[in-house]
Amino acid sequence: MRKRPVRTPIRSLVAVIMLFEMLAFLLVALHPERQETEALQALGLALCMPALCWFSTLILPKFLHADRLLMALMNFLCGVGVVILFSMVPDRGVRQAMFYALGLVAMAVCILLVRHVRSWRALCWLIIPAGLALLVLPLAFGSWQNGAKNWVSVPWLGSFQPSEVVKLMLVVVLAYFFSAHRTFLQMMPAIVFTGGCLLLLMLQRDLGTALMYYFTALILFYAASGNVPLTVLAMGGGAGAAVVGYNMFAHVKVRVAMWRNPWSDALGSGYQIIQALLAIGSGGLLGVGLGLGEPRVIPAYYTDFVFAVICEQFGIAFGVCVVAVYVLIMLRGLSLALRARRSFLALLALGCAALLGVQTFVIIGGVIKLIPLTGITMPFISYGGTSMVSCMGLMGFLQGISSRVREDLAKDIEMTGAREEAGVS
Amino acid sequence: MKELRRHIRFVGLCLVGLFGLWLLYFCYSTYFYGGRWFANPYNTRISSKKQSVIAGTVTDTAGEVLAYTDAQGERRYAQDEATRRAVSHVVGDDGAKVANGVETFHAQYLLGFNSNVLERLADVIRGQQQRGDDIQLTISAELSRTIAAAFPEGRLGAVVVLNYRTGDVLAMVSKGDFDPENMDEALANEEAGALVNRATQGLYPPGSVFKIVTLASALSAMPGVEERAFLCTGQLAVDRSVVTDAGDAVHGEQTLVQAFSNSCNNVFASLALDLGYQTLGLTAQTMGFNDNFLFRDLVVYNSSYPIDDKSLDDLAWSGVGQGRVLVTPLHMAMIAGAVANDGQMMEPRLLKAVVTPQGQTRSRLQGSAVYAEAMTPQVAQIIADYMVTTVQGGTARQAAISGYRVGGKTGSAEASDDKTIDTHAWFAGFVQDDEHPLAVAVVVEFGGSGGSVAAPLAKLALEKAISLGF
Amino acid sequence: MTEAWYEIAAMSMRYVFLLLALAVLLKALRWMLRDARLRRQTMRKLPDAGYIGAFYVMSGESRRLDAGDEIRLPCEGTLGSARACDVCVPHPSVPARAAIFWLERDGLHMVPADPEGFCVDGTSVGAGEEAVLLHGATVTAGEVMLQLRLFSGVELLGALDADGEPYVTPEARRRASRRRRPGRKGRAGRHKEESSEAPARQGASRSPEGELPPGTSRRRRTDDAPEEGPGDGEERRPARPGRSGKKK
Repeated sequence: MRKRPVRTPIRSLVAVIMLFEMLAFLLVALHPERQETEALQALGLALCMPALCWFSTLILPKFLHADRLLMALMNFLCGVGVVILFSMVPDRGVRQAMFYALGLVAMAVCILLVRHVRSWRALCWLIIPAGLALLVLPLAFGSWQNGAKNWVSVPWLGSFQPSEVVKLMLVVVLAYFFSAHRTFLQMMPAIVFTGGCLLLLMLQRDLGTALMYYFTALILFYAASGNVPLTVLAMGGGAGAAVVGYNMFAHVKVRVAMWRNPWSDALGSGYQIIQALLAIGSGGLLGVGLGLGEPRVIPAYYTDFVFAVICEQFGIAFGVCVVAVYVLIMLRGLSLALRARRSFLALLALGCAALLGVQTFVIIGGVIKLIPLTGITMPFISYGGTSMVSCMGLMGFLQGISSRVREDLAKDIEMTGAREEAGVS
Repeated sequence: MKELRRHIRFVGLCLVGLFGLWLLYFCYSTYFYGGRWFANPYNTRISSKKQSVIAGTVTDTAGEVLAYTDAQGERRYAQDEATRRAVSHVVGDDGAKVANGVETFHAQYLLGFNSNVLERLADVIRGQQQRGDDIQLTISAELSRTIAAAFPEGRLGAVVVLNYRTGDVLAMVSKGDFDPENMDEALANEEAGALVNRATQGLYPPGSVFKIVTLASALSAMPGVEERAFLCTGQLAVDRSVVTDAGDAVHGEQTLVQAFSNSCNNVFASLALDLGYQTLGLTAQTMGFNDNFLFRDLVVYNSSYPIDDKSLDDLAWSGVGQGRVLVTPLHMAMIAGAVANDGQMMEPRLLKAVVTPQGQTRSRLQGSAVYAEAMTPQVAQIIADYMVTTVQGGTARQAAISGYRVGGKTGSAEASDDKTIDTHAWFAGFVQDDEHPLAVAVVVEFGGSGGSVAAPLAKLALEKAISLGF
Repeated sequence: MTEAWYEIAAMSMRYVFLLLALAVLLKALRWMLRDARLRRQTMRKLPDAGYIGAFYVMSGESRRLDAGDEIRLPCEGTLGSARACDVCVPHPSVPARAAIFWLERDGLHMVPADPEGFCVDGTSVGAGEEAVLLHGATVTAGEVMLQLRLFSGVELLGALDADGEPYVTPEARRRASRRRRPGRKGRAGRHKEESSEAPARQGASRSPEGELPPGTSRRRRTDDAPEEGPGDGEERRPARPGRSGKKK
């Protein structure tokens, strides 16, 4: 057995990420406003986060056969998120780190799911009612927050956002029912499920998530069927629904008006976006520095507008790098979809990559006033347990598919090698 | 699977294209608007930085101090009240109540936001409090004082004097003014609009000074129009209204230069009708109307010229600067400057130099820039000649300065249908001289006739500027 | 640490953080390019990667098609005369998109994508029906008759996967250490027990040396084939060994 030691770029990439996290946490620990406990927490994180990064990128893939580049990039993003949250409110930073660890577990679960599930059909038919039931929960038990009713308080977990979990279910259901050799009739269960989810989300007034679901479903539908007329029809339907939503919901009108000219109501509804723009403008290319600046002036600075805070403190160039990392993750997911042998896996990979890409685009577009604001979070960076866990779940799907693809390739190597050995061309 | 892969590639391309679009928009908006976002009065960072930084000094072009931070950390302004009031809108106030005064708009320099690490390190090692940069403006305090003193008492309006070769703004006086050391009183007087910089943010109907634009359009689009003979009957009937002249004057037969010099509405309204919306609109837009002004040093509201084909009446009146046409005095001065500068309209500059506390000049400031090629040099020369004729024998004769080639155009812009209310008195002109390349625009709200109210003020401003050596 | 010193520290670190972020980006890009390059190399060495077998043209000639041609097929795809089809049969009588097929544990499932349908071993398969093909089965679409030949798999030692890590199958490990015990330790439990059929290790089933009799039960060791084809779980009749089945 020949074992060729091959130098991989993984070590240097992980080293850079670990260095970044260590330096950032050290700097944050030195902030003059830090209290004793917080400084210690920061130092602890300066050790734990790089350790988790190293573990998840170098050790875990040996057992789970995950894609290490995706792991590394994801770790980088989570690191940036925890650092920036800690520097603003240390408590949230620590909790975000815990969510991150929890997310790694969720990711491992999803990897195993993709690799071991035998009967996806049974799972999908189970998921459909479960997903719809989960989305009904906030309507039944939740409370209105920021004009949307998409949170449920769970006794010992805190608040829980079911639409994030249903995101994962949606991608699986869509991929399964849209995979090859399906007639349009056979695709119907997925379409009905998507329609049901969208309806429930509209009732919850969670229009940002509805937008995300819609675009993912559209992308998967086009990829699977290639039916351009129907896709265009669906897009038209979406546009029509958007117009209806605009006329029906007052807060949508407000959001669009604030997108066009936030300065018309600078202290009221436009305050959010204006403060975000001011923060970005104040940062400049290099930023004001970690821990400096005034991020807390921006409302929702730890969820929707983290990107503005990153641009203020780390700089616009850094913000663009972060977005580029998201694009790389998406591209890696897409290349995975291209390499998959089975259409189900390909569509699942496409769904995950598209979902991540669309979510990121919608939130960063809203922050810089390219599109109106919606209420969704930035994957991996925004504060939120369910958000982090579900995004890690998506990554878990991608990793699982990656390991399947590699196993397929290895088998092919096997087969060809055997044929060569047997002397056949 | 091949088809699936093809679709996946297409989707991937679309998604990457989407992010590319985002990146382009991000770069565009931060590059052009980033500075303005920062200088926005709602930015709390500026006011918090003031507590830890000694704000820099603002001086005029001759070195006279216009604003400084005293030993107690309070923001103080020029010594005498006349100066303070004359430059009040240029300098702005400490509390960002005046939008886009130098104190707010250039806070990034005054409060040291641009300082680099080494400068900060030097400050900390020496144990000094951080100081912001000092700014030297292109404004002349003495010129501004003279203008402010000569402005008709009790009237509102603005006067802008600039150097049409470099674009430097030499004076930007906006009346009603306020005293930055006495902001409470100013805020109480806000109904008079004392805090608005009428030179850059006051949008007025230009009236007859707009005939410069109509003339430029006619000269470029109608060959041979200079030799044409025009007949003014005192009344030009258009679709639903009648174009008359000031004071119901009837000018009879005129050449184009005579019509311009007499400021004949009939002739120019008929020229506008001949040119049509498209052509006249195009000329106006080439000269900066409807353009989103994003100057580096100051904020100027956009002038507007209507480009929709509403009615012939609208077109006729637009040709003489009424109707829906609106312009700021600064823009008008830029137009007059372009005429004198062979058609090149320069970007207005306010900052002459930014000096660090250590005495070095920041290299960030760029030099003069051409904002637009407003007209061809030939057309500019003809219009300049016409404007000189107007000063020598036409409606602007009160602006003549002996020994200098002065050109100008007066305007009496109707601001309301009520005939009992006076018109806005306008004057836009220049001194075409290589040693004194000056352009001026004056507007006196409800001041009456441009020739008798605005032109003398402009003459005074130009004479003072010449005497100061600008 | 006083505020001023912290400010200086934070301001100097800006550059460091930006450089680190750029380094992350560039390294990730380089890694992706390297992966692509390795993949291309591997694909060049394994022209058969991804293909589970081939359709051998038994009859039906056209300008671009000759008898004896071999068209490889992936584990999922479409069959037809269009270029976009995975199994491209460039014959005018074959519809643009004749059939859709996918591999399952019991054979190659095929459904018609065209109202014309196709024939399997003589039996016609129309719309709404599903056929299960085994190794050696014949498909007739239009005027072209194709015979399905599935590859069979053998182990390999010391191969590298795209990450540069040596990939060693349990079988190879066993062979290398010359273990006496048969049976497999599944890697992460994915591999099921071997079927009672003797694993086809002859290794020569790829080259078409002469025709194989139709309906041969020799088939690829599809026990470890990816399981969840979308048709998984649909009701089917148990495939009778030795005969390609047709499904209603």
